Amino acid sequence: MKKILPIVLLGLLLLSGCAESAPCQTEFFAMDTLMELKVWGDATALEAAREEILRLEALCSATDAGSALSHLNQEGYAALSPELCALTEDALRLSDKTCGIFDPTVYPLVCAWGFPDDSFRVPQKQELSALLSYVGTQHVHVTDAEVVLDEGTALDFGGIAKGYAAQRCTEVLREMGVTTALLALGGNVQTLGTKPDGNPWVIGIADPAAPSQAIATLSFTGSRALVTSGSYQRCFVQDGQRYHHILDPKTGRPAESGLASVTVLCDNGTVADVYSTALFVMGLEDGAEFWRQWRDFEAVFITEDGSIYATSGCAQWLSGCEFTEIRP
Amino acid sequence: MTNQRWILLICAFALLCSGATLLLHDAAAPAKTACIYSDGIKVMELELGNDAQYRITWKEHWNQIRVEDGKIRVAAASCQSQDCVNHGSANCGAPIVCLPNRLVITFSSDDGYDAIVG
Repeated sequence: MKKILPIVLLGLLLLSGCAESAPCQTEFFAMDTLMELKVWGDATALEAAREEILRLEALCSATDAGSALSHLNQEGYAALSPELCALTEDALRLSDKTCGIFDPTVYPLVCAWGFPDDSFRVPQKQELSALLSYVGTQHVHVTDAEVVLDEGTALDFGGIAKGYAAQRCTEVLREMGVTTALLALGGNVQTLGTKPDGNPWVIGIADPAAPSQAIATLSFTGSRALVTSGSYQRCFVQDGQRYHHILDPKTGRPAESGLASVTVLCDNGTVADVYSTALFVMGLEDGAEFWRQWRDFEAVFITEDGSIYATSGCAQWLSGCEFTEIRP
Repeated sequence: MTNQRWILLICAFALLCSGATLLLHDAAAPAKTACIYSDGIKVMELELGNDAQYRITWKEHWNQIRVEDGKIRVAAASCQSQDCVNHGSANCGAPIVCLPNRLVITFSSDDGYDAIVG
């Protein structure tokens, strides 16, 4: 006993003094936004996640003239990698699921408003009408390894690429044995595993009126993708009128749905990214109906007057605000 | 010493060590500061208690930064979107980002959130 006790004492001393392990972290610009990665693991895994994001940016960027997607948009056809073909098919499938409210072919409209290079302008009605004839997934033809676009049509993965990147990063990290990570890709957050201290992840939802502050808090455990689409993100003011970047593919204009933001929680980052855009365009009532129909995600809606609505599956995780529960 | 006394001693020692760790952790908690990054490089770390203003330039782009009343904001910027200016004053929460000018302002204070989505 006397021989063991000093060892026990030393062990207790070390355990009690052991601080929670610090994550490896990095911040960098990619996909036209700020990427913040925290990985509880070695630096190699962090670097692998960073490289995965940069690889996908080179693949999916519509503004980088050297990307595979830009090549497709310029030429009208391209033999794409199986990965990009699959992502294109996912985008088309999800567009169909949202009845075309999420539409990856809005790029001609996005360019007309000047969002890709911040050369903002308000297009005339006739110009939008002409461009709308190029919009719609019926203009995209996917075969086994080739994508063909009708004349004037162009793809934009801005509403899906960050979600897909988050999804891919978690897969890369898992393959490298990482069990805990927190990825903030612009407005998207992806959690992986359980926090080292065992506490729930605590994620704030940005206040549309003051985006640096949280208006509500989501606390949950496990791996989840969270994506917010909001009218306060990427917008410009002309002649006293504010124009945001989430375009309604039916009108070609910034969506006016009465929502200031919508946050989607889902197991799949790609789906979360698409749904947040689609739900923002749908608005509260149609968005709630979409949730009742599919039930493969949860959502927090914030209306322009600041009212908060949450689907019943995530109501238990929501705190710090008054809200109305959306029931099945 | 009897076994009971040894157990008591071990427990007391462990409690002492845990308390000391907590105290040291609190003592090491940073004051409210902000870090300014330009094109991925940390160019400045600021105490938000001291009012000041700075101009950060990157290539031909610039951001005018103001610290006042314990908060920091981008007062003016050369970018088209003005998202960084519209972000307003902050001392915690989501970083202030100016994408065209490759400027990021982060906060060291712990606001209790692991991240802010939005």
